[in-house]
Amino acid sequence: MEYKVVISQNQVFINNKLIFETEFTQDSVVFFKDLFKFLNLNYIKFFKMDPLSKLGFLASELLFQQIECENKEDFEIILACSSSSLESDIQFQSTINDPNNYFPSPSVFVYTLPNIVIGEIAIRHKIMGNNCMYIISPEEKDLFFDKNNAEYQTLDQKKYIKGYLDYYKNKYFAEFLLTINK
Amino acid sequence: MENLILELKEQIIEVLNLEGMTPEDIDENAPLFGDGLGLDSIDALELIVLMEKNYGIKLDDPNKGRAIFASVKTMAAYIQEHKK
Repeated sequence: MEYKVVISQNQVFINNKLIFETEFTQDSVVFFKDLFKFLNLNYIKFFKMDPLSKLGFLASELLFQQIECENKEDFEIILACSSSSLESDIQFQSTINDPNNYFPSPSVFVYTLPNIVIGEIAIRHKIMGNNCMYIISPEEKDLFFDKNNAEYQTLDQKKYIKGYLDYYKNKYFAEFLLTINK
Repeated sequence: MENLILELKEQIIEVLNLEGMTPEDIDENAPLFGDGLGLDSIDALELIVLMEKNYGIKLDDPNKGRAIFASVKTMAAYIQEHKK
């Protein structure tokens, strides 16, 4: 069983079928909020996440809504991105640039690692399986998803989310696969 | 004091990204942590930064934090007393 979600340019596809679309807006955070409401989610922590985590969170929610699975404990999460946490890194840097206005923001600092998005997904669904975040070039995306490539495979190959996501300066893309092998 | 409480509520909503909340939704006597607004440890650090940045108050003794951040009202009272 395999499901695929793609989020890009104000559109959402599940298994290549368009399921959500808004008018194009330059503000990706507005789109993420619209999608969050569309999914009818009640999770206040979403609004505190950085854009990369919001993107990964939404992609995983879309996937998990496709399956009936109460216990997700054994899921593995293997993700890859290109811009890493650069968006949050720059935002955090802006809080410490000026020695006369030096107020490092704790809530921004916690997102200055790209793998935090995995933590957000794992906390939400109580997932305790293996996880890994790769930083790759966008050109390596096909190689990352290539099932014949041993480098980026999950460990037990039973239940996993494998996804590529990227966010930087309002440009975003996510392609997530959920696979359950019996 | 009433003005400070309202100002503080607006700042808390903005700094902690309390989406969809208005100052009227926050009871100034309700606990900020635990059952009240349900804030976490990162939010606590953000409130410490807020006090220093907006009111020039540096919290030197972390042990006082629990009493100061008990509610919006206790926070406002502390700010009024120590504001620079």
